[in-house]
Amino acid sequence: MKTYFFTGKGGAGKSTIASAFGWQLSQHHFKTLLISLDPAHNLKDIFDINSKKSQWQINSCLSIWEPDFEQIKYDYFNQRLQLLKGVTQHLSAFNLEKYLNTLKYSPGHEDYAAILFLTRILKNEKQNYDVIVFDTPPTGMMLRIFSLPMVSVLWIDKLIKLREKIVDKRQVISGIRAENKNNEKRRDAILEKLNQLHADYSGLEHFYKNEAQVYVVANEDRLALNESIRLIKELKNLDINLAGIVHNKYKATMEIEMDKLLGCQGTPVFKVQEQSIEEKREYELLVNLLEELGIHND
Amino acid sequence: MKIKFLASFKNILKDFDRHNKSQATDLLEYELEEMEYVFATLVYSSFIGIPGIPEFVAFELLPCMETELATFEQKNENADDMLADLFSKLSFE
Repeated sequence: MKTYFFTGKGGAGKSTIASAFGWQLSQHHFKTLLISLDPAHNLKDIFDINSKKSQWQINSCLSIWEPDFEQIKYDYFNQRLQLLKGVTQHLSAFNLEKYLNTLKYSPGHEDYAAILFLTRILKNEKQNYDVIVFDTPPTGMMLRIFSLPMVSVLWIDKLIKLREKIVDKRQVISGIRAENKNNEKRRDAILEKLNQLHADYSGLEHFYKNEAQVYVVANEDRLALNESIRLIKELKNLDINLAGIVHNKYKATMEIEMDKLLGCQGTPVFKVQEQSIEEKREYELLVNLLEELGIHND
Repeated sequence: MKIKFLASFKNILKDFDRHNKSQATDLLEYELEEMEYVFATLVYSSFIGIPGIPEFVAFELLPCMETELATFEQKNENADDMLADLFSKLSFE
């Protein structure tokens, strides 16, 4: 299974390119899942679908999915709060659980909801599709989605080291008191949780760095260009490989070498002509991209 | 009678041993408590206005942190009189 991310500035054409790419893949009989990670979804608008369902089958090989991040966030907080109430029964005596319930409505956290969703998708849908294409949110949020697992792993590493020292110290004390005659290592719920989080986030970090094919969609607009330059720099800082640049709204009359302009010479550039999006409403775009990426359905 | 006496003597020795062990571990326990406090401070540093770990990692750990949070709260209550706290732990009179 291959995964593609189309990133870039808002309005650069990420959703259109991702949709066109997904459509093309399905025309080549690849079982494709097209997912919008942008809370302001517009995949259904692109495919002219008027439905409240978050998942939709476009043709026999293409499905689209616009996850409801608010619902994911709400479900997550709800589940965690149930666990929390289990260990803080005394809170109910003071009606404090009402305050905990308000956590469910706390603003933000869309980036974490996206990470939760991504982890689930990679766990459950990998075997069902040949290709998963992600239409991403604008640069700022996408960089947070890319960087959160790495930052978390750094912190979790430090916490695990400290926690291990605590568990060892506890072991020594119970050893002296002869409470633990067999010198068995006791279970530590916090250490177990930290190890589980470490495994999850390192898995996601490994996925970003080694499996994900990340493309930057750019056009000749000055602001889009500057943001793309910053995005490429940040991807480099995060050690995420840039698979290519999609030069959107390309005009044959202008001789622009997008890779040089974006400061990443030698990166493959895929050109999408300006008029092709308007003319070919059935999204028969990016045939070149498919061929150049060596995607053939045998 | 003799057996009863021996049993009581054995119990006294056991108590003596337990007391010694408890004294020996007091300092270690204090150190452990401090480490747990540091751990809780790192995890919930945002409670006291210090930027720290990503908040969803803190939230994930919350259901397992009841003991640490109790230590955190107690330590913060005694924060004004740290010397008294230290002396009482080390049994200075």
